[in-house]
Amino acid sequence: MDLASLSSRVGDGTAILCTHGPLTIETLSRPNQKAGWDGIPRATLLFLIVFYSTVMVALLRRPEYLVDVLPLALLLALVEWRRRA
Amino acid sequence: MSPALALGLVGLLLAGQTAHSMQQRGRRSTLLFFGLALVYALLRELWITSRERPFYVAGSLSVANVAPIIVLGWPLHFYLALWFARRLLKVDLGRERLRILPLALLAAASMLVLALPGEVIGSHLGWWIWQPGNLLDLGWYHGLPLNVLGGWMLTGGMFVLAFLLFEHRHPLRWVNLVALAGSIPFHTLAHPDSWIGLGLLAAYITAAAWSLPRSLAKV
Repeated sequence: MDLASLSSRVGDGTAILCTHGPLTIETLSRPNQKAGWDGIPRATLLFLIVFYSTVMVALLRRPEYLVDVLPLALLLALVEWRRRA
Repeated sequence: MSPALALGLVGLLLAGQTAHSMQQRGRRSTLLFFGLALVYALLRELWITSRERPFYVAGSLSVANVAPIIVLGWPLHFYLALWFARRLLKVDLGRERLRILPLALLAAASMLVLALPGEVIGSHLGWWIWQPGNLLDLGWYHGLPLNVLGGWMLTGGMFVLAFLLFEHRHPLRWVNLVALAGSIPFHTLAHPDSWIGLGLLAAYITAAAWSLPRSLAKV
């Protein structure tokens, strides 16, 4: 059985490690790692959205400025939609 | 809010993007992207603030008349703008043939969306202070000169283009780098204050549209 079909059946890099050793886990687990690491820009953008909104409302007392944060929130939602599509 | 705290936050966020880039693209690409971005941002801000009539002045936290939060903010926004463009187009930068112009255009649009709320807050909290009066005075929006909106898009698009051309060792990379550096003294990217600068910007856009390939072969 080739690695691709094995990977699709097991779906978990750790299980592959038991049968194919460290070289295989390196190859198969990298896509999972990359997907997880995309959490950094996503978390950054979520933080910025919350931070900007809080400052605009609580510090500047200008809730009408929230309209400037809206496009950023929409763009992030669009990326999430594209990721799941 | 203390500008020092804001500077620390921006530094932390930038460190996070650097770690992300190292993991995704490796050391060479990370050094190229953030090195190029930091040098560009520093030169740009030093030039702007050394002018007799700067179009903004550094606010409550400044080093040599430059607001460090702006210097660190450019690379952070460039990286997030490129990330948005890559994810929306579902593009892998390591692909053999890369469609470069849609990526640069979408990064430019993302730059506008990213920079708008930060600019509004920064200018209201006094981290930097916009000065009135320039060649293209289009009015003001929430405390910002309207023409800077176009400036962010142009800057983001040109920078992403410069990075991708270097990343793929394209023959036109040095020409584009000279254009990017040459745009600084003329303020063409944020606050055009001379007709020479505007003319050069128009020439650059025309040249880029004619000469750059629609796709970019990886060498």
